[in-house]
Amino acid sequence: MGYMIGIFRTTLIASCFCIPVVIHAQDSEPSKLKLSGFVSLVDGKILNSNFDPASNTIPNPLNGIACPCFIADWGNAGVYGSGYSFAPESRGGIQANYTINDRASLVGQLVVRGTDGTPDLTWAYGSYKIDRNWEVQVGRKRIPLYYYSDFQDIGISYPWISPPPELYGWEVTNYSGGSLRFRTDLGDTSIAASAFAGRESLNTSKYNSLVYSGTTSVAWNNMGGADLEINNGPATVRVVYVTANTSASNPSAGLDQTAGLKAYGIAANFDFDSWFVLSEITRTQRSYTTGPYANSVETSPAVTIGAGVHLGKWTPFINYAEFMDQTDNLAIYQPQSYKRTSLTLRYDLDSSSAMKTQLDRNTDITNNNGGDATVFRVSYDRIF
Amino acid sequence: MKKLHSIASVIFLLGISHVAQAQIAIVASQKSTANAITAEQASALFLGKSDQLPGGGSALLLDLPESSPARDTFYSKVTGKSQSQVKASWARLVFSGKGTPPKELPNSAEVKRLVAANPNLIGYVEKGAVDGSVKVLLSVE
Repeated sequence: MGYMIGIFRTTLIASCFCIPVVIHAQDSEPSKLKLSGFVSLVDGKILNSNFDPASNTIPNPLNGIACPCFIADWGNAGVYGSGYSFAPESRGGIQANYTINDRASLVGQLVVRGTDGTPDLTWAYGSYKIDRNWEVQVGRKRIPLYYYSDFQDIGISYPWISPPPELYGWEVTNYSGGSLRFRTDLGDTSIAASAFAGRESLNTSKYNSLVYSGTTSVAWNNMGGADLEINNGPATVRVVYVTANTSASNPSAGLDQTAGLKAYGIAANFDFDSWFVLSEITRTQRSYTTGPYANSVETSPAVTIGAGVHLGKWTPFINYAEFMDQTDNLAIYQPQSYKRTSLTLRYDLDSSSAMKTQLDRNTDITNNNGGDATVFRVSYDRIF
Repeated sequence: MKKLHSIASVIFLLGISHVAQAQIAIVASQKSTANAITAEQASALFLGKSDQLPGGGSALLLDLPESSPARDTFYSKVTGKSQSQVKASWARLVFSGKGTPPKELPNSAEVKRLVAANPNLIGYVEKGAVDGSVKVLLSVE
């Protein structure tokens, strides 16, 4: 992990070198502030479910929602129950981008959610373009674990109501640290590679409120990783590797746990003139060192694949996703596996706003995830 | 019969003027190191997949207003995308610190004025608006 800290220090030192350049440049370059934002209003409920409270081992009620229940957003504990609710997934954000000069800028993004009324500083970073290929960013950013992680809040940027929770669901989504990005073109092929290092800690983990009662604090230390994205014409392929030392503590539940995390992923997207295919497969592995699962290894492959077609303002999209949890010690850890098929219909109201409606059929394979459920959702997404 | 003929002529002329409007030129400064650009390269630039000018240097992009027919023609012919798809692509980049969308200018005259002065700028205008102040990198018929 020493090299991670090394990278982080190097980026910090690099950013310090930028500051005199920035201040010097302020005199000659016009400064400007640009505000932009996004909003997604999502309403939904479970239409029917075979949930059996006697056999299903999910904590019930789940974070205040009586099961049958469907976890749409693990990271923010967004759970749908039998009644319509805007709370699980609705969100809005505002971003301020201050351009210092051609090379340097400062960006801050505040997000407020239906699951948490307090605005959260999701992004806050300084960015510096070293040259035409290299860019360094220091501050608070999103962990680039999945293809859609960086823009999972921006409903208008994807065809589903939300990215598949089978993949996009972690106890932490952001980090504080630094990243370095490289971009180049080889003929008609565009290449972007980045590396990052940092840490994250949460006093109250919403994710863990779906697992334990009481308040769980979590920390991901020595976090680091790299990704490579290659685009040629209709094809985009991205590979990623992320590693971290994780810990979770919940005194009231008697939890004091540490684990080493490794995550690998590959995403392949094909965007033809009207047809498009989105696919992503990941494998995460937690090696528990202390706590209730000490000395066991949890391996969780997950996959999503979907296809859609642009028909003027309409975009129908079909998707299949599965999360397959495994352990090498069933005596101490109960895996949680589920799969889901969804149908989404998107309608573009104008170039900056869209409405979507989605029907999900979720299968609770291990009978500890709230039951098989059919979920109905409708959303309004807008950027400004 | 005469009436029908004149209606046909009007339709034909409208057709012609429509075709004339639909011609777009991708332009850069006369001082730009780029001399030509392929439709694929232009598409990658205006969808934010690349930020590199073919001749070297970082590209800074200029757009016409959404209400402009030239903008519609440019994106549908060069990128094959609707305005919604283009906005969705840029939204991903803007809200994750990976790119800055093209700067929107009121008309072709403004695009030409800025492009002429800065070799890193690249824009598109109606073909009829092209003059000696700018270099045509690609004609889109």
